[in-house]
Amino acid sequence: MTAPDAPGADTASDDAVIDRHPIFETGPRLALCALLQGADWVEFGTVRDLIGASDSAVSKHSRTLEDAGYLEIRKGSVGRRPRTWLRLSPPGRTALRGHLAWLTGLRNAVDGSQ
Amino acid sequence: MSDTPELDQVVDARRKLSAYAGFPRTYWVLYGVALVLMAGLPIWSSFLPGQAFNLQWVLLAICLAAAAYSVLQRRRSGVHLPRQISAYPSAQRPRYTVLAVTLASVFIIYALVGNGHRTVALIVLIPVAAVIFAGQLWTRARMRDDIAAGRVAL
Repeated sequence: MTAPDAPGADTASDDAVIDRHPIFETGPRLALCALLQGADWVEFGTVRDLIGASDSAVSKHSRTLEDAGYLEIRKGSVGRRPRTWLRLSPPGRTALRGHLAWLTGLRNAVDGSQ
Repeated sequence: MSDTPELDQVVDARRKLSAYAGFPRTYWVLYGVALVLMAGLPIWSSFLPGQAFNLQWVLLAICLAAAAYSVLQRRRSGVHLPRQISAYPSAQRPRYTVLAVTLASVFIIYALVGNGHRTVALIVLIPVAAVIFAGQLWTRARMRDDIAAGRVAL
């Protein structure tokens, strides 16, 4: 088993620009986006359960991220049950990588100064 | 206490998602059985002359069952992971290794059966199936690692 990289060291794009995005600093948005980063689509209820947030919190924050162009939301159904699916958009992936790189740099700076 | 709890949340979210790259034990048992059936197809065909047509239907049924399982799992779990191996940088080497071993094995087993060495082919089948099975386990483990480390490329 390989050692995990630092969360901001995304080898999928070694040229990620270090860029803070304050939109990720509210509520569970960063955890939500980090979850979606590794998947194609994740169902709303699964996102809620995995990040431990309420339905209203996931709904509110996902809408904000969608308005910012960072999230795609798709509504469908499984059988007769309506389902909502979430996915990070390409700009969202880029922004998340930049923000994680900024956070990792911050942590390294703090660790280095101690 | 961590200086960057946000990064801890990221690590935690990725770790939880990586669990979805695994398969249940039942799947692996059925996969092992299917693997022996498919890899040994020329051997079973030689034991059952005239039944090649029926064996192909069995092969088709196995492939359809595998595809149906994949679709159902994605629906039930609520998680659609990327299907293409190119999305998982660490899993590509094991995947292509397994592919190469599988192709070589198929060729060897067909050649052995074709030359009348059916018993030898049967003996070869066991380690070959074991290597392919282990290779698949290795591939899934690497996929889990990539998801947990945020290395998935989409």
